[in-house]
Amino acid sequence: MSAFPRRVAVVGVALSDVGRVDDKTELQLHQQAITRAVADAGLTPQDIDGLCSTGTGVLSPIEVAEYTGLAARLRHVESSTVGGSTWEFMSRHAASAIALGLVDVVVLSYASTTRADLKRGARTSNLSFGARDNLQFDSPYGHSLVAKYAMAAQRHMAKYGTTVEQLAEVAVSTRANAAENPEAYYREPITVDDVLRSRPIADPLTKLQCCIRSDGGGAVVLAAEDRARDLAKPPVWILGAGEAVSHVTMSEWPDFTESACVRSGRDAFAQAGVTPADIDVCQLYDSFTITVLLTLEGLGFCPPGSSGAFVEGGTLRLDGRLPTNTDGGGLSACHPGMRGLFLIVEAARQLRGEAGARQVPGAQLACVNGTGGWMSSASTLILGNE
Amino acid sequence: MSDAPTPDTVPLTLPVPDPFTAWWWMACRERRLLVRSCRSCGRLHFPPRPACPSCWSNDVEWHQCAGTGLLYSFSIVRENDLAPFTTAVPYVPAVVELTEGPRLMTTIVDSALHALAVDAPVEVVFVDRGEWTFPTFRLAYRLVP
Repeated sequence: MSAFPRRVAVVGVALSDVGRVDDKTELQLHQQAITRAVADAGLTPQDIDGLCSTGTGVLSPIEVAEYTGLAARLRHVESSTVGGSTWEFMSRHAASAIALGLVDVVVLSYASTTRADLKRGARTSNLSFGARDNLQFDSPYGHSLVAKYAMAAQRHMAKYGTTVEQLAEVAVSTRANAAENPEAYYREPITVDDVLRSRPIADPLTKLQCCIRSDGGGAVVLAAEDRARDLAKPPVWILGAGEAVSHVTMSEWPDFTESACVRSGRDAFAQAGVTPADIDVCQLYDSFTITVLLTLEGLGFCPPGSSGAFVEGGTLRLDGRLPTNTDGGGLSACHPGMRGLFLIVEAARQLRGEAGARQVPGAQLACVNGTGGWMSSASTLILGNE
Repeated sequence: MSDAPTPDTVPLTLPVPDPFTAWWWMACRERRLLVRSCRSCGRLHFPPRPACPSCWSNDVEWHQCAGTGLLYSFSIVRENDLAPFTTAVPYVPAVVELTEGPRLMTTIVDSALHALAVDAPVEVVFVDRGEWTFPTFRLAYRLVP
């Protein structure tokens, strides 16, 4: 992995309305987020020539391009379908295209009204993907999304002695971080007991170990070095990136205790020329508590099997050894269905020093890791402000 | 002490086979659990494909398994808003590692929930539902001398 031939930076970030949004559609939230992120960068719509988006109804990047009036000027369009990690994959693809000079300014966007849709009965929490192809050997048995992650947790506990209290600590630390974020959905502190006594969903995972269902969207603007230098906000450089996929069919996942981020992280760290010990702040997709444990091990922040002990004592809190999910994560702050984009927004805010009460003092290097599907995909970004 | 569902109560939904996988489902109907075996590289695989995913050989045949294995992992589901599973809780989705090597997704029946453990020995229990037969598994109790 060599460095990008032309340096690429995150130059604009924004959230749309988040939390409880009953009066806007997904496309309206896309437009709101994109408008805000482009303004945050100090750019105009005329500067945009790339758009990456997924998740909306029909031909999703085109739908967003059309709605925002950007379609005619785009020369880089992408819509990966790898789950919640999609925006980390997109960042790597867009950074590569920018570095090659194929495109100059790329917007990544996401929006979902999952909470509002559930509330009015427009969808179920567990989605049916049908029963064709390999799904015919899976869907008959009711392996819910939570159950799939729960099976990973169960295997990790049996293999390494990881405890439910250690799993719960991830949720407790993340909630403590959310307390400092005025935009977070849940901010009341919780204890390990609270987590373990919350409603059991799929053993060993309880309600408070599952990501929340909120509404919201966000956008990120990427640009080349020559554009990034004189914009409204200090650039946040993409120093390294990696991507990897594993499985869709659970029986094809070689090891339930190993995330594909073992591979995406290796590439990202190598490209950036840094190690986990150099990282000041992490944004790691926390669909469930176990996701964070597998990611910490996979990226090399602790040895395989030791993540349970690693998170004890508040390691992941704002004042801990490795502040992680500083905005309160998907477990407490914001999770409208796919969280990948929000990870990048929060990492950029930390590296710009604009995270307010939840700012990690002097943060210079951030590690972002998106996880998609049911540990199906992983993509890692190393971001820095120098 | 609560138990996993019985063959009569275990929640199951219908698969959508294709002309190739129909052979696998027909074998289940005959109480035979099949995986695929590659004559070229010797590897077994599941879910079944016409060609071997390891070496891409087309020289692949069906292989009948003993119906035994280990409980690779499982979860006791307490809540699922997707019908018909909503009203069938608790039930136990599981991934079983067959003695022959490949794993498959399944559900546990006729077993005490408290006795479930990762790597516990399990054995197949074929469950009929209308025209379909599903391989489910139960804990295999063994007498230790």
